[in-house]
Amino acid sequence: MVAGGLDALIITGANVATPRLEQEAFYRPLIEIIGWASENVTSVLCSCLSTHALMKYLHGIDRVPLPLKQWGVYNHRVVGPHHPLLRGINTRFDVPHSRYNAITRQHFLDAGLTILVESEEAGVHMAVSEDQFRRIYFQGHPEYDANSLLKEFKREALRHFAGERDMPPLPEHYISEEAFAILAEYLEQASVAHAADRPLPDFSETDIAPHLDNTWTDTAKAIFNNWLGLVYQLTNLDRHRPFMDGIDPSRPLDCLPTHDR
Amino acid sequence: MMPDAAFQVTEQQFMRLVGTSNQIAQFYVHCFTVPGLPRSEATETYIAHH
Repeated sequence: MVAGGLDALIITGANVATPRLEQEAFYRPLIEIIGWASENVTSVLCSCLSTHALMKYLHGIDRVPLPLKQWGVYNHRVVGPHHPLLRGINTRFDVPHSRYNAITRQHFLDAGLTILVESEEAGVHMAVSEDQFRRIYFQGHPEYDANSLLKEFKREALRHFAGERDMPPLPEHYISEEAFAILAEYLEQASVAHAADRPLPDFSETDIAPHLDNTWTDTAKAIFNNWLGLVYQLTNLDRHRPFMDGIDPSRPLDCLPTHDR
Repeated sequence: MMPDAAFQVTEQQFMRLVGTSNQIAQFYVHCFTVPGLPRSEATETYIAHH
């Protein structure tokens, strides 16, 4: 670990290789990091699978498998409009998701967490720990580039032609008509080549990318801006101490002026 | 913790969000991984040079 602590920590997702998260190679090191972070880090942001792992470790909640992969770009709505992490952001915005499992709305509530952003179609995207700031949970992927889902689709489609899986569904609300036309033509050519045991044509990523839109990064930056601003405001100058003097770690946002809460 | 195929791109995506979101606060960024995950030689080399 970093001597003296960290102001903030981002924990990314991971791929799973076993049926249970606690059997994964990353699980033990991850919970060690979480234990260390509770004493040495002001705020931890968890992305996707790390959110699922922490829900298991801290709250005993098992994620549930989804009938189909949830992937695409989904409309979301702010449900905690007065939370300082959401200050000044759009109340309705998009976030990409890409996952086979979910922590449900009820799971978050049962764990005593506060839901801040959710989607009718994709479920909860963002929640915070009971103290409102020390752990931030994402299920979606606001960090994605415009072409990230396209690259994932390409990887999965190529796995299909390699005989490793069935043909993946298209990511939802993401592929424009123009992009679909190019993609459909590629898939048809690839299917013919595959059936004839010929090499697959090149996946025309650069032809498709101009027809994809990014509808989430502005809001993602605004939320990160709020998060980092709050970390800067609350963290002690002494790296050995997560919070400024007088801040209660169990309610760190209570020190903010009322209009900032 | 991301697998090799998405290891560097995920790092870049979060670096970009952190680096472009706040124009005032300056942060030193330290990158970490966890032991025990299967890694290619190229990714091991990348991690070692970080």
